[in-house]
Amino acid sequence: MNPDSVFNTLDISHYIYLSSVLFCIGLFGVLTRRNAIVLLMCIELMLNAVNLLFVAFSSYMGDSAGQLFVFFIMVVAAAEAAVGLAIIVMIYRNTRSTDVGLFDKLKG
Amino acid sequence: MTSLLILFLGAIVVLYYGINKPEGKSLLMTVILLLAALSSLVYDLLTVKNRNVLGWLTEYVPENMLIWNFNSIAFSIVLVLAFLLVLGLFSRNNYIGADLLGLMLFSVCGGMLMTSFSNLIMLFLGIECLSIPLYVLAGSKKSDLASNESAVKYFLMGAFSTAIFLMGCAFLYGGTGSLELESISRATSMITHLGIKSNLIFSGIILLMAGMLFKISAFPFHFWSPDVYDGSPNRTTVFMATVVKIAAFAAFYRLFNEGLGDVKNWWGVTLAVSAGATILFGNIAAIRQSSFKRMLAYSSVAHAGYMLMAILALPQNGFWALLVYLIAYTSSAVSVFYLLDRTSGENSNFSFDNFNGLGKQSKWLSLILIVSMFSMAGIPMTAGFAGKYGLFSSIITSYPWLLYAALIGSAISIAYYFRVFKHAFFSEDGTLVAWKIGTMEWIFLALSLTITLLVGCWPAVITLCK
Repeated sequence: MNPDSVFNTLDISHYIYLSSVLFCIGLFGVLTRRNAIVLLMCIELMLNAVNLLFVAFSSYMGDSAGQLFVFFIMVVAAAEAAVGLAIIVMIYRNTRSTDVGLFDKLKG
Repeated sequence: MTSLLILFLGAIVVLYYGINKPEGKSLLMTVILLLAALSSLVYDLLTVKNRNVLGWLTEYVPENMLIWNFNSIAFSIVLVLAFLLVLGLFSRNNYIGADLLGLMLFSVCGGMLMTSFSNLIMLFLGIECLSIPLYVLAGSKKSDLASNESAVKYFLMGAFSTAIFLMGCAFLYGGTGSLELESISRATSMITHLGIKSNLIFSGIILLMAGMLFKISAFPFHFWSPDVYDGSPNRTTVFMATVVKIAAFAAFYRLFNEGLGDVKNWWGVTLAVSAGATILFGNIAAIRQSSFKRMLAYSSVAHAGYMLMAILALPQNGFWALLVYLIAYTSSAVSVFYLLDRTSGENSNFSFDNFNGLGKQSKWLSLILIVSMFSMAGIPMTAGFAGKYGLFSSIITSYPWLLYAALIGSAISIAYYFRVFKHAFFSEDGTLVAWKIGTMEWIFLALSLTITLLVGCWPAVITLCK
């Protein structure tokens, strides 16, 4: 049996549900976790859910614009992670911690 | 298009030239680049009807990515002008590390992509190109814990809201089958005419709106912005309050009013509720602040609420009202932030007491403080009044209850805007250290004062270029 045929039997709605669930897992992680590195990973999970959805729609509609968008998202996510990790390293040097719950100097 | 290329190539040069050097020459280079970009934009604006604005670049640029029509060029001009004002007034520190200017230029390039996008890919790239340098700028005081905190908060919230925005793009792409603004507009208007309810498009629009509300810091997604504004270095804060806000509102306006205007009954009420809540919350929270900088941060949240009205208005009214309000807010905010920066001296205490005795020090600075505060509160004869009048009259028939919320908010705002006058003019124990004001600073202070008064007395001056 051709392994492709499993994917051909899947409806587009399956992809929508899967990526919505992945997106919500990432969202839940961002709202509940306190470690900055884990927060970054949760945001990456949300972005990858978006990528999956774009590729699924793109292939379903036979339109290449969605796949083009995915390349841009991946490149920008890498740039963003680089800057974000640099910021987290800078903070770790000053406070010896990456717990975002400790950042309460600014309030009011 | 030429202006974008000038800024982008110039940013690379400034970035590499400036590493570990004081700002002197890089600042001059940046100002020259901005003037060149500004003149190119003005030329584009004057000739926009007669020719294809892409000009000699037509064959190299994919035409469905950026659009240079009257609206996008006008927003870009305001953007570049705001950056010029910021640089002119915040140049005294002569920081070591002139590469920060290069990062600011990249950020402005991102802002210009946001004002002139015609494809969601370009909007996304614009938002990121605007935000990523800003994360670095917010944390540019490396050993200051407040700056660190604001950088990490801004980064996490920015990346989070981008993910939500992208999910909206994906749903909208699935629902309409295209990423181009024009095709999306056509598809959504067809769907309305046929009376179909599309869940994909609806959830896409709601997610896009949530992402954009995060970016402009509107209720209920405003909680990050006072902390970020408070902790960032002063020049970065004023950059966020003016340049970033202009770019974000231009993008929001073009996406929702021009692109998705035909399905306003799907998102109009939600946005109106958010606008009303933003105005009331921003103004009430600003009253309680004892720090002047934090008060300005909350007042900027409230101003974002007023500007959301332009997105609910009919296209032409909304555009002019938004443009006037952006100019009014920028010209007054820049001079108020300048006074805040100078009165606080070298320390990072920004309480109202810093202004004690400003009235005795200089008559001209007092005039600038009074006019800017009047303009922010919306007193007649200043630009803020013209902007508020335009915004309020553009929604008066469609959302009258929002108008009541806005009027109550404006009344509250007078209380905290005028509180600084008590410190500046009626306080005896002045600890203020007089500072020397350079020629460049006088020129730019006079420029912002002139804009505030001119637009206030004669708002039609803005429409002359049409």
